[in-house]
Amino acid sequence: MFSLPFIQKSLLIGILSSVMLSYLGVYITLRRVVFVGISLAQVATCGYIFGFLINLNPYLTSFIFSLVGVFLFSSDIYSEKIPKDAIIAVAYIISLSFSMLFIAKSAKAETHLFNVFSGDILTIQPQEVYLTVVIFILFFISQVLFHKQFNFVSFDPETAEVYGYNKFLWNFVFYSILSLVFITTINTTGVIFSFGFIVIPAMFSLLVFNKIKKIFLFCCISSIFSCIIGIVWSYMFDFPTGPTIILSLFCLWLVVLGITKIFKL
Amino acid sequence: MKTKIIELKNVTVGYSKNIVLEDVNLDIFNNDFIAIVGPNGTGKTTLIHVILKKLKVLKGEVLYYNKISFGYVPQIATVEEIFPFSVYEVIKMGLYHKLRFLNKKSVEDILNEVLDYFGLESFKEKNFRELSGGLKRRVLLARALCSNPDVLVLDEPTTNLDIISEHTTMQLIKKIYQEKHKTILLATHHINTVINYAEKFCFIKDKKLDVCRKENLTEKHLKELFETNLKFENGRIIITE
Repeated sequence: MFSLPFIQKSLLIGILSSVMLSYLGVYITLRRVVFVGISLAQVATCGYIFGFLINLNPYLTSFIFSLVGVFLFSSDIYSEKIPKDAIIAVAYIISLSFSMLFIAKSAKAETHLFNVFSGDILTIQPQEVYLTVVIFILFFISQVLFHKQFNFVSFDPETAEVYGYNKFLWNFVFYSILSLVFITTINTTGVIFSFGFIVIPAMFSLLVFNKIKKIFLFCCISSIFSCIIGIVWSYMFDFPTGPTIILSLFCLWLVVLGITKIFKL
Repeated sequence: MKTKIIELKNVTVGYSKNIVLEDVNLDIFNNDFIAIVGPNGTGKTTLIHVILKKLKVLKGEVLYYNKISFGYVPQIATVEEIFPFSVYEVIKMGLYHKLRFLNKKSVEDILNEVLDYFGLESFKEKNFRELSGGLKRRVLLARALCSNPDVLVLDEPTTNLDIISEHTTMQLIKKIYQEKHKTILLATHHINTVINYAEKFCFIKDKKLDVCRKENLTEKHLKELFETNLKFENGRIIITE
């Protein structure tokens, strides 16, 4: 089955997307902003569906919506009277409500809806493969160039500012990269896949490992393996790929966690 | 010979309509040890942020007489301790803004020297989040010092520490002050923490700054400031009623 071109394409898309999501998920989890990640994904989805409604390129509308979300989540415009969580929750529920309205008025969006949620990377188009590769290259370069800034601003924003790192700027850059990754992955791999890879590998990796480099490394390795297992499972039993990959990821990490607990590694 | 390095002239500062400090004057000289003392929420961190250029003044001006570099130890509560960074990685962050001017060998040499100075070699690979409160402050001090700054700014460096760790941390700050000849600005809400260390005290009260040298610090002065009966005893201030 691995010699089939559509399997090769879906493996490539799955691996690149999951590596990007699980890597960024480590930051999201450690910064305690998991819900920001999920809200941002929902805002991107809302923009994507809006594109179908007004017959514009959904990637473009998704990007515009995401920029608004990125600005909101990376700025300090919040009131001292309410916690940041409340605003994030409002952003999530409003974008979800709009998504529902847009779906109700767009037959095209409705037909894409199942794919948006569950993902079907077995039917991926060549241009989507190219887009994912381009986004992966951008993601890779940004991490190589800016990982120090992301680390410092995430770990100790106060001191980072004293040393000249603008908190808003670096948060904006980080969330922009995250939203670009979401825009691509939501369309190709689906919402379940995107949410799952943002949270699951980071959570388990943090439970099992104690060093930041190992955490990033094993997030990426587990993502690659779960994509292979999930795609094989989906192909063999004719299931949607998003859920099979996420369940493979979850089971894989349960096994790893079990092994480390039993053998006290 | 002490020279003036920073001057706050009639500075008023605040957040939107809320004035925190009003018409404040302060001269900072090289190799000063200044304690900024005041209860929680009076504006100690605001004053520090003004000096560090993180906050713009509403009125007045802040003058820097030389190109001054700062080392900073934040309040521990603002550090996201959940990140599994090693002690070495945390200290290295203090050099991030200088990395483009340094080669790998120089970075390693500086970090090893700092680890040695602070007695942190054996903790090098340990996770920062697994350290005790006192050791965490030591690591943050090491990070602040590794870029060899002119001024060390410490925002409540002994908060939530037991008395032994507080003493050790203050002794370490004193050692840095005496051996490295740094200007120290230390904010605290406990005057007893700094009474035996600082040479100049800035008391914040009613949005104003009362600057006093240690030799001029009298019981009468402190009674007026704290509006309570107190006395000096064994180098500490004790409230008598």
